[in-house]
Amino acid sequence: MAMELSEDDVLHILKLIDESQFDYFQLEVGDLKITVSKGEPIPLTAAPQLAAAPAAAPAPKPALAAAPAPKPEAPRAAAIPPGMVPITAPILGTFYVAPEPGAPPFVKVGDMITEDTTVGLIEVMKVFNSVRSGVKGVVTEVVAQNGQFVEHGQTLLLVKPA
Amino acid sequence: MCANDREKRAAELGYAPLCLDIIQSELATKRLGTKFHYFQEIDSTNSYARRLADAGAPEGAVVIAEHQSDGRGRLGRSWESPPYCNLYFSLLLRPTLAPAHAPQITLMAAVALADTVAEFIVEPPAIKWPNDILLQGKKLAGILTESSCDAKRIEFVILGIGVNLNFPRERMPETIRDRATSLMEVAGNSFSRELVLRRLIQDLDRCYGTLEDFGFDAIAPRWQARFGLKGKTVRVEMGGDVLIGQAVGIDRDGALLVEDDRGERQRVVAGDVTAIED
Repeated sequence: MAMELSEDDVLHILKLIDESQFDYFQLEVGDLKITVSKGEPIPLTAAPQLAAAPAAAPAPKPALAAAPAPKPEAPRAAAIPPGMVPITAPILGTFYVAPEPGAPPFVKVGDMITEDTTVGLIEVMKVFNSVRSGVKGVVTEVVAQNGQFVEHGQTLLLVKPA
Repeated sequence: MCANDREKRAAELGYAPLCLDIIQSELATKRLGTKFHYFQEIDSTNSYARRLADAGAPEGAVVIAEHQSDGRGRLGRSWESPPYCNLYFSLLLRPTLAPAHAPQITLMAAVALADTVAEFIVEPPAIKWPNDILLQGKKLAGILTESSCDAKRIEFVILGIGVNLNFPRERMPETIRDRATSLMEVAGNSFSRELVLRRLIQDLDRCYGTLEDFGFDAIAPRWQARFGLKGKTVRVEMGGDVLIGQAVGIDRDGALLVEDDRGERQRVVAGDVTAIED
């Protein structure tokens, strides 16, 4: 049976979380997914780069990103092929494959990389974060596209460990 | 123009190289200014600081250059850096913040920059989310933050700062003349680069210490107090998306809050923000 929540239910959950000692809450039942975060940036599944804060609350605390059902092909849920290791986004933001427009990409498919290889940049609030590989091996797929908004934990590349 | 020609021209204009002794002699800091790296010319202070970080240099190093041959802004945009009249420097930080909180470094630096500017000039500085300092609506200073992190921790942060100090309007390139300003342009007199830089490093040291010791909640109200776009109609551009609404402030993560025409608050974490004339 599909679970349904009214607006009052959601507000009640928000109140409970806000008053609790927990900073992060995620509820996923069937097609329903609710994510509440007091501090950490909220994983987004809709409206890239812009996340709706609750309209009713004058001060959005906690911020809420209540998204409809995650699609099966949602990036975070994508299956990792056997024998491959994902390099994931350490922070949410805009992913860039090269240090600046027109420059060669940091890595491409077939490149041998080490744990310290920079594989991309993620920009959030004008901060450019170099993403370190953290794994030694060969790049088999660049999953995230240049300029794509990525969530924390989303797969950026796949690597076959050496 | 080669380096010698630049120095001659600077001398003719009355500009002189920075005197590090003045900066270091009375520098009162806890974390920053542990070591100074000074260059007449360099590709970019951020690039050098990054090389220092990769080589394992400790927190607090300051990289200063009189001229950057490859001064950078966002996405490879160039930063105009004529020698001897402005400040261009980068700081190497190794914060204990979680990677998701790295943007708080930029916001912290904006508060410190605004505090320093307010010490030297009556005209109130304003912060344009998240990383520019404006005087009379024109850009006075910019911050370019770069970091290296994995999923668990920030390895280092490079805080690059450029401040237009004694930059006369007639020497500004026409492309930025209507959008940029300098302390001298607003005040009508020149400033000691050493005294401004020393004060700025001290203010950054204090604000960074507050952020590290007490968290962003201790910095956010001061950022909000200097937020120049508060209540104004803004246009946010991110790739092909455009949002127009009223700037409200920032949330506890530093994301810009914009109220759209339906009264919904949107969190903005990327993109270019400009004020729209009402």
